[in-house]
Amino acid sequence: MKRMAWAVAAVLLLAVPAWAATEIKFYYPVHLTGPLVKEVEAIVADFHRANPNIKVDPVWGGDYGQNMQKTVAALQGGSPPDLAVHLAVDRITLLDLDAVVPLDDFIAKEGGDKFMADFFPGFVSDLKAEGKTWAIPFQRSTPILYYNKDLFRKAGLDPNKPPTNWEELLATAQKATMRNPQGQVTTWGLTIPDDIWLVMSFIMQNGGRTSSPDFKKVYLGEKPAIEAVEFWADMANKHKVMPRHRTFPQSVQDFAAGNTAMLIHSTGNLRFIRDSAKFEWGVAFLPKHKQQAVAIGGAGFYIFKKASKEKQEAAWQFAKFACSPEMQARWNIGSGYIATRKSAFDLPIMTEYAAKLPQVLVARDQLPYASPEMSTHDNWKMRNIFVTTFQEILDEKYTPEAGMKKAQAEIEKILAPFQK
Amino acid sequence: MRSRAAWSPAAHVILALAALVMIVPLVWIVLTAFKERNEVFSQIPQWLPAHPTFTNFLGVLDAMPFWQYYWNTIAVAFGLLAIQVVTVTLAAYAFARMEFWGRDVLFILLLVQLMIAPQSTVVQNYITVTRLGLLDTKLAIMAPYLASAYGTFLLRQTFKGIPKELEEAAALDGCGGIRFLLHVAIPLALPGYLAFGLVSITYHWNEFFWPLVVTETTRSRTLTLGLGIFAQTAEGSADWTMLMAMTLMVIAVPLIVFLVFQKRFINSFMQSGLGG
Repeated sequence: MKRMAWAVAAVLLLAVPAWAATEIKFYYPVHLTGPLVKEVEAIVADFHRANPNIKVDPVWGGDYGQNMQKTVAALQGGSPPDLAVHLAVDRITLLDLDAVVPLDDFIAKEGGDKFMADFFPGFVSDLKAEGKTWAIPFQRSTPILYYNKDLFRKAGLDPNKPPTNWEELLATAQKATMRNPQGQVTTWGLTIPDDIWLVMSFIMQNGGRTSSPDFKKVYLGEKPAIEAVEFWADMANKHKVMPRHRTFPQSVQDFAAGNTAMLIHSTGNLRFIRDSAKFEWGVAFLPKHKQQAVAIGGAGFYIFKKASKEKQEAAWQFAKFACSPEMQARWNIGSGYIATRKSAFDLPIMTEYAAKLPQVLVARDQLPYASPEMSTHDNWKMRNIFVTTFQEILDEKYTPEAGMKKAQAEIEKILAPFQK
Repeated sequence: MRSRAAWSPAAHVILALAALVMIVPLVWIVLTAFKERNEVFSQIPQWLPAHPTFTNFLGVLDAMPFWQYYWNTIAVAFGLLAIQVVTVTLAAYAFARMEFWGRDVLFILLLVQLMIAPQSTVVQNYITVTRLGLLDTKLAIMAPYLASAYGTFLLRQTFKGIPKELEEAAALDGCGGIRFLLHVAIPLALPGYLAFGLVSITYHWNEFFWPLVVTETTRSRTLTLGLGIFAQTAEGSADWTMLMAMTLMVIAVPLIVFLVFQKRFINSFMQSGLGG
């Protein structure tokens, strides 16, 4: 009996620190496959080692869309997470739901602008709204041009000269497209997933605007936007150097299998292609037209309003840790997302990695040309209209002009309630 | 008889072709699960793995608390079925055999449920489950399904098929009410139960979104969520070999259950098909 009492006492003693710990619930999405859950859990484990007084409960919430739905359901059920990773473009929705707190006070305590100066400016700019910062950048990516050097050689192209502008892109794709004697395509010159994230980049390259800084307007009916879509649709339908429709996963697999000479896709796939490609490959900036441009994608850490001050503080500590140069370097190597801190690229593990995979540096060097992704109130509905119409344009149901004007009108309708 | 004999070879060819279409994906899953990662991307599809490997299976076990998820899934799917059998039997019997005021209106209301997409009630259900304090439990996953409109409908039809005279005779012998249900009606409705059980188990074994929303930790998460880790690929590419290895492990139980009860299932469908 006495021994039992001692044992109980010992257990209680051991358990005390656990009771004293601040526990925070953390929702995160995984948009790339497999091992990323492990990578996030590793960051949490390292954080626990350094901060025994905080306990983070990581909850995998599906992909970006599902994770957002989970958060919205939890908000309505009155039990939101304390911390979550959501898309940069979701900040408007989270603001409209009055769900999150601005991070400016936390940032000020860390040294304000000095602290933020080490983040790549592009990654920070699209997490702001109404003059405040609502998230800190965690998993960020941009589109990049991947190309298969072996297929370039086969087509008589210089494997060290990827296209740099739209004309070269089309010319290169035309040369690299292989057809059998019956005229069917055996190797595509170019593949781009028919997603609007990539269409945005083309609009920006053409000097166009996508959405207004107050998230209440879109500019899809304007000339630069229509021309960009026209160029894209022509590559698929007129020149036939690119398939009309490919999803994100299909297109990466096509590239890995050597079915397409070029691919425009997220930097998030650097790791997958490195592991899968059995040929020599390179990456390059997206070809420019009137200007060099890409749209940034990806997500950051949001802290929720309903959490107690103590939990918010703990959540910030974890977010800061996960966005530290060391963790970001590891996250970059493990995932393919671009490290969000400049100094991450000076760390030994990163320089070693870049020596083996110099393509990573191209992704970084393209960042000065990156601008925020198109975003509005009711963002998911807006995207849905845009992507559906865009795919109908590719199917030649509408001309680029008619289609884009139709999308513009439909989106104006859903944005009407937000115009004050 | 003559026409049937003439029909037979052609029917066999058609059925064999249909069976082939059904079996190929399954064979492909099995073979891919043993392949090495890069083999999947070869330009000419290969059937047999060049270097058969178990790495994918070990990778799956390493990536998540697999056995805990398996146990949770079994508990949810079979536990739910056990509860459903009770609720559905009582409701179906009442609708089939009892006379009470408002019965038909109630029954129509119940059927309307079948037409509501479960996705549209996620938020309301979430709020209910939270208020009941069930968030992140296996019971939370089961809660919205404890009563089943589909099961009630199916069994009501089956119970209705039992002749009234049989019930009267049983009552004369002192086997009325609940005893009639237990000793006569349920055994006679067994095919209906099997059909409902099959549908219920497959549905809840495969359900993804509701468990994702309502659970948070290992103690309540199910296999489909584990599978989702490998299938979330919107920005990249699936890890096909691991995905197939896990798929194989996930479908093992339903597959074995089906193989074991195969004859009965088929009979049950034939009977319920004829019974209407």
